[in-house]
Amino acid sequence: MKTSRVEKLLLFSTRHFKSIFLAVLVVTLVLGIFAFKLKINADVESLIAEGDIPEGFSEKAFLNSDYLILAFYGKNLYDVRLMSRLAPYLDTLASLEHIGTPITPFNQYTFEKRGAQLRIVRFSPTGEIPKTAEEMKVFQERILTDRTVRGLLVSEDGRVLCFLYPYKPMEDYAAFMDTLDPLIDEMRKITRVYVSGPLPFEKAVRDRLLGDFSRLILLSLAVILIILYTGFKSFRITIMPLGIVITGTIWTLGLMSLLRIPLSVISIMTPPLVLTLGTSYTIHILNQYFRDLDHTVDSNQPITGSVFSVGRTIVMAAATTIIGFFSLLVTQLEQTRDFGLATSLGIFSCAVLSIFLLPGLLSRIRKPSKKQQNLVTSGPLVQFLDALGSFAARNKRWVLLSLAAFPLLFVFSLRHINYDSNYLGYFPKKERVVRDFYFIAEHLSGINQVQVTLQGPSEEEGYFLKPEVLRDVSAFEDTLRDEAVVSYLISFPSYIREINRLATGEDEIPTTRGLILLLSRYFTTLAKSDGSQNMLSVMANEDFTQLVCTFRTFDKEHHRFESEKEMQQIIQRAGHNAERLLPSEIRVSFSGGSLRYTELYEQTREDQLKSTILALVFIFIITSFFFRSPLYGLLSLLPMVSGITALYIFMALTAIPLDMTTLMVSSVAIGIGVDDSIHFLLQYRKQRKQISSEDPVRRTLHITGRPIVLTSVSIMGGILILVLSGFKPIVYFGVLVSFTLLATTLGCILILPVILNLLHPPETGNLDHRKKNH
Amino acid sequence: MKYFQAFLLLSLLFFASCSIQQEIFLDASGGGEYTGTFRVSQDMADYLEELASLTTSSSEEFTLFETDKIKEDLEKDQSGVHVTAVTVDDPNTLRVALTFDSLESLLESQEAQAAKIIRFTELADGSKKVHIRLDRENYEHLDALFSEEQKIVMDIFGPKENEGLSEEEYLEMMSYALGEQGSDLLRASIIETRVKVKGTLLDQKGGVREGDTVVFRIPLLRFLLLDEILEYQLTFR
Repeated sequence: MKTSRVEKLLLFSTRHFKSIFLAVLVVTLVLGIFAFKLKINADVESLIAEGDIPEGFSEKAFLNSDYLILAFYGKNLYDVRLMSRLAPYLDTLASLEHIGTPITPFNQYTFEKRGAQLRIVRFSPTGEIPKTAEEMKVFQERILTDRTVRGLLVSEDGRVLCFLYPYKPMEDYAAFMDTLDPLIDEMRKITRVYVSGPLPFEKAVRDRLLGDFSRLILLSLAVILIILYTGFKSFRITIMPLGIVITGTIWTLGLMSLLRIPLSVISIMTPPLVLTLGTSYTIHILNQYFRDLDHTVDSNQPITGSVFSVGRTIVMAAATTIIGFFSLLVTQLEQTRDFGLATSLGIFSCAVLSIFLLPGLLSRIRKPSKKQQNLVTSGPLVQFLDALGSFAARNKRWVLLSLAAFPLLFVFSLRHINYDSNYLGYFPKKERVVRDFYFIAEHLSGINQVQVTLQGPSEEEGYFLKPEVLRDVSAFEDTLRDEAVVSYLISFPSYIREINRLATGEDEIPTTRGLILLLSRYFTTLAKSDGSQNMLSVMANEDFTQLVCTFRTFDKEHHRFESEKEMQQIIQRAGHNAERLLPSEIRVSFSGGSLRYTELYEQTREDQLKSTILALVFIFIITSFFFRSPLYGLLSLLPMVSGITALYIFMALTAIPLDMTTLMVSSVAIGIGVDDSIHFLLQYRKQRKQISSEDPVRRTLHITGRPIVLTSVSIMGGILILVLSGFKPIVYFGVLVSFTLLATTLGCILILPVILNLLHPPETGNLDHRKKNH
Repeated sequence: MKYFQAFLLLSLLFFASCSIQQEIFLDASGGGEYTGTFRVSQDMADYLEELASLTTSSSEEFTLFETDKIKEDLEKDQSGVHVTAVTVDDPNTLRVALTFDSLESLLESQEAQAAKIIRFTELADGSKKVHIRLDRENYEHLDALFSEEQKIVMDIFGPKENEGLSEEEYLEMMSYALGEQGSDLLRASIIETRVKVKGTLLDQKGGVREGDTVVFRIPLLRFLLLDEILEYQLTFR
């Protein structure tokens, strides 16, 4: 019999096993070394796109997010002795290499009325921690009187003082935090200290990543081991696939390192996914090998023959799975794209190793016993699936009814899906970083902020120094303050009002320009001050043709952050109020950290739709090409319908939100789930070509049902390990992918057979063998 | 002699409730002596200290008159000028005395020449003419004369930011900074400069002749607002 090139290649791999094994070993060693150099990216905020800085302002707009925030709580904070004990640690912190000039309650500015004069002074007379009782008294009076810093540097009740430390980008933030932690610990011996900002979160994420990584890998391996042994009752047979997927995983990690894809909150899922998905290819090869054992003469033939006959299935399955992950490359989040690429490489590696290494390994071991063979060909699982197939055939009506109901259920559930990109939800509520974050948000003014930029006519210098314009802006700002979740607002007009209140007792914009002019001069001077960070310098540009109003949000009544939807609504209302209250020549734009999350709301929906549609389209194209039939291409997607619908229903019922990690579920599930339908359809077409009185669907189910179920169970088992992760979205990902895969598998073994029987009723016989089939 | 000019201009800002008296004595050779007395009220001194703290750290002690620095600045890059005294009689009063070979050596600088603020002309008959003109356009060039610390004061109160401002608006602004009294005194402040010529005083413009002395009285407000051209001229032999 003429052997094809592929068969020759397979024969080569079995006959020159030692060379191939050595080559694989060398590659594994090299990539293993790179794997050790894999970097970790624990920056949660990089999960969202960069925000816009108002034009004309430098990046050191002081209320931005790159600050280390320290909040001190105590009933006797205004005590010279207490402060003097804290002083050395604060000085040390301020002198650390990456830290810039801090914004503290002591060094910021306020105004004081002395007789008829208005003086600009620092909160602390010296600009530093007060050293005498008199200085402390002055400081306390100033900080508790000035409303503009209430909620920013001091709490409403005066018991919390907040310090902001800007920091420059650093490579090794973990080392920096290791330097910082002892300082914080020492300060915690003096008074209660709360720490927040991106850095503490990054450290917490990093610690969890490292902990999760090793744990999840080991547990995935254990699950695979158990499932494989249960399926084949042979230790040798179990070890080989395990070795292959471990090798594939090492290759994946090495390639990630080479391509500079770091291990992140999202790509942490890659290794367990590769382990479980890679196992499915070995299961299919082994299953076919067991079936083909009785029909051979050549000692290597059953192996190469098995691989060859199932190889096409594996190639198609791997291709479609890779497409499922590749579709994530169209998303806007870099970490999601990295995850898609890394997992695709892992799947490819495992597929290649399964096809070219497993045959050689199998040729070196004793053939399975008859008992082991019987388990595979006619064991309990096979019998159960036979019965299940009969049940589905007898209850066609219900199966078809459920299929018809899917589109309606899908549309219904789609409207009830929640979106949530709040990364705080990644951590348990008791996590220190979360507790500190909420403390600061509750006692001060929240940390989420939005900048509203008002652009006046650029040719009219001093436009925003006109009292009538400032009055309009102030009225607009009042509408922002009326929003329940706006907890703090600072701007040039609000500052003017506060100073006017101080100077004249009137809480309004002055009717004449004198005070406005003086403040503008002070602001401009402070903005030019070298090296100092201050809150006044970012409220207006140099010629006062542009203002920036900054507000923060936190729902203090319900102790929670507003959702993306709520923020969108606030911005919409603000936009309408701006149109209504501001002169028409003022252009208004919104930016800031909070809005990045709001934009993510839309971005996530868009990405999810895009990647899902792309995955479906490409898989349809590939399967149609392989089957040489668009009908079979469509049929291969049919189980996906049940899978994705079940996914959305589940998410809507359980209120699991759609976010940066769970958005990947439908694409991943498509890629994994279509494997089952490909295996089924390929085998079905093969059975239809054979002359037999038995229903080809039942025969197909008899042969492929077991490996399909075994594969799905091993993948589900491996992915369910993710529920042990410390990150909630990853837990959700594990639950959702497993649930979707279950639904897809049921769709494959229940719905697909029914549809095939409708399309090709068993009584019409095997029509395909008369056609020119490929 | 740019630092002297800076010093003079800056001293013009020591306005409300302070007095500035200057005397220039010109001898027959064209050289002469300069004396100036600057008195600043305590309120003003406190205010200047607060302004200084906007950009300096608390470790730097504020001194109203840094006599060593003033002497250094006045003597820097000069020829023909010799500082005879820079003293602080009381914390709020500064006296400066110096001699010079010629008015040119005292007042000339590249910046001022380039900006056409000061022009010296030797006439055909051997007489000398000094012409000073300060307007909003040429004031811009004076920025280079000031140190960073001096610029703070000039930026807040000096003419540069006052374009388009009415006298009323400016005084209202100053009343918030200095109180009602401060703006009243500002309105009343005059910089008086007496130039006594030993020789022949031929002509003058912008001042009042009193025998061999010309007295120039500059309303401070006019300088701070520069809402009209300030022009002064002296011709002598």
